[in-house]
Amino acid sequence: MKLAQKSSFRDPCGFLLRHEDILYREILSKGAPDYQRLMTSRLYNSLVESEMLVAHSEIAPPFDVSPDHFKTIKPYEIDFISYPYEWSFSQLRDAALLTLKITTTSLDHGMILKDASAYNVQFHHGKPIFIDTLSFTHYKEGAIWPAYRQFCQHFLAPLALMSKCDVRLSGLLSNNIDGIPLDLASTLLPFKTLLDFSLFLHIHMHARSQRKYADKNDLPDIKKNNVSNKSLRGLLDSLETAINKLNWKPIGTEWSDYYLDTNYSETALAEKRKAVQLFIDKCHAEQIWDLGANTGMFSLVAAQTGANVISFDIDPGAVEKHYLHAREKGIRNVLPLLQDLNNPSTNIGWALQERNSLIKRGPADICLVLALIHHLAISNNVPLIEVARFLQQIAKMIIIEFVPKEDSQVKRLLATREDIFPNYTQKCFEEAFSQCFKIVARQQLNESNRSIYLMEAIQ
Amino acid sequence: MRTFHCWGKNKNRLCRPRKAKRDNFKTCFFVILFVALATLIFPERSEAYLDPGTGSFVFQMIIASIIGGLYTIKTYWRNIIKFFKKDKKE
Repeated sequence: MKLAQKSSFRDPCGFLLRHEDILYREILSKGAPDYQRLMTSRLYNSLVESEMLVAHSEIAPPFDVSPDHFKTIKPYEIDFISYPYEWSFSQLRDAALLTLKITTTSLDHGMILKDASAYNVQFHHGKPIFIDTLSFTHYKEGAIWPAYRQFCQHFLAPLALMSKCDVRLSGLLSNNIDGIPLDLASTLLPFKTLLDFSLFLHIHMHARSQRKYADKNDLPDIKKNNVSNKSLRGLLDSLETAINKLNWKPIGTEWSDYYLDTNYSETALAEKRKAVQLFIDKCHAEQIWDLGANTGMFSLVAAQTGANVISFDIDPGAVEKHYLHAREKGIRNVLPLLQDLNNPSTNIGWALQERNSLIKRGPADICLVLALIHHLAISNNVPLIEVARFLQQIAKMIIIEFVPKEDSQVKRLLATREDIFPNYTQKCFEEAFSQCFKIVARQQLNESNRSIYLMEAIQ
Repeated sequence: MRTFHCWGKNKNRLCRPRKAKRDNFKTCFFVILFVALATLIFPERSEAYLDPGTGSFVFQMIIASIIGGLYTIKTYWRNIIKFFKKDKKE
């Protein structure tokens, strides 16, 4: 059955749809001239060859097409769709630079990006890639860049806030689906950013101009295009300079030094790694989610099987370190993402259908839940059965580590609070999880009081 | 001898130019400049939600020529640096 995807419903030139679980893009007659120009101008080839744009093939549609149908294409499908509010600082920065690079390359071929939504960028093989084939339009000399405002809201404002105020402000992106309003960014940014020419111009003055013209009827003649090609390139260069100047270093964040502060002996850690490896090998997974991945020690173990690994962590510092490490080493099948499991990404956007929740993007073949259960059950007071029910929704198999109360990490959590968890025992853990999972294997780790389980979700 | 008009209550009185007075003048000037800038720059709360697009459009047209000019200078400057670097290599 043909099912239109709500992520692309705004575009009059075409839309994404799913048919028999395969993703297609229908191009409508309105989008035909720009699509043909993209394909004949060699821009498409140039961008695909440099892995900046997702490749596609033109196909005969296996479904009934729309009345004003022009062509159907089958884009290469990205393994896991992630959203800007789940990216670390450098991920959003790389996505911004890619968008600018694509715009400049498009100008060389007589085209331009008509939108600069961060949702048009995804991470594939460890690098950002542009996924919207219909974002390209014909560039007429003298025209302005129609995506300037969107670029500032989706990229520059959140990056500036993350860099100059607090990295956790990227969370504002989930409340503002069309990027952070510039007047809000201007209010939140510290006074010293007025002395930064790029931010002064593209955020503070830009916001001021938006306010000035928001309710004005006597507008200047905005239909008269008068921005030269050189000026446009200047604008893109100025935005690139602004993005390049922003930086953030993860120092002293919550978890990013966690591996230096665990109670594992070297033997126990090696044994844990071996057990995880063994359990993963038993399952033949294509997609593995590592929950509470930290800087990705066990994500790398999972990645060695060739599976696509999505590594979630609550700490922006850990995700940033993980991403930078993966980028430096050229690891192509690990994607670190920010995710608070106590409040995971939900469905957002128009009719709550534009961006999918974490649960909707699952289930994963395997979920690694290592050294995490005590944080969910004790720090966040979630009953063990609720943890099991949640995991059952997002995974077909889980590899889960039970951390008992005798463990120093749990003792630390209980040191400053009353122990209201009489049911936090290995026996109760097994009983609770047995309601949602079948326990396939269990291994007690030597030199540690922790155990690792392989469990299969009961359908 | 040069004299300065004083600001505030004693503006009709003529007084000697002293360093402290000059500093006061400077401070006043910067405070006024700061307030003017802040008023100009910080957006009031905001009707921008009505249509932020128009303001962006107009703003881009206004800044494009300035930025374009700076970009031209930057490009020339880069070419000059390149030229001299080449010369050194040769």
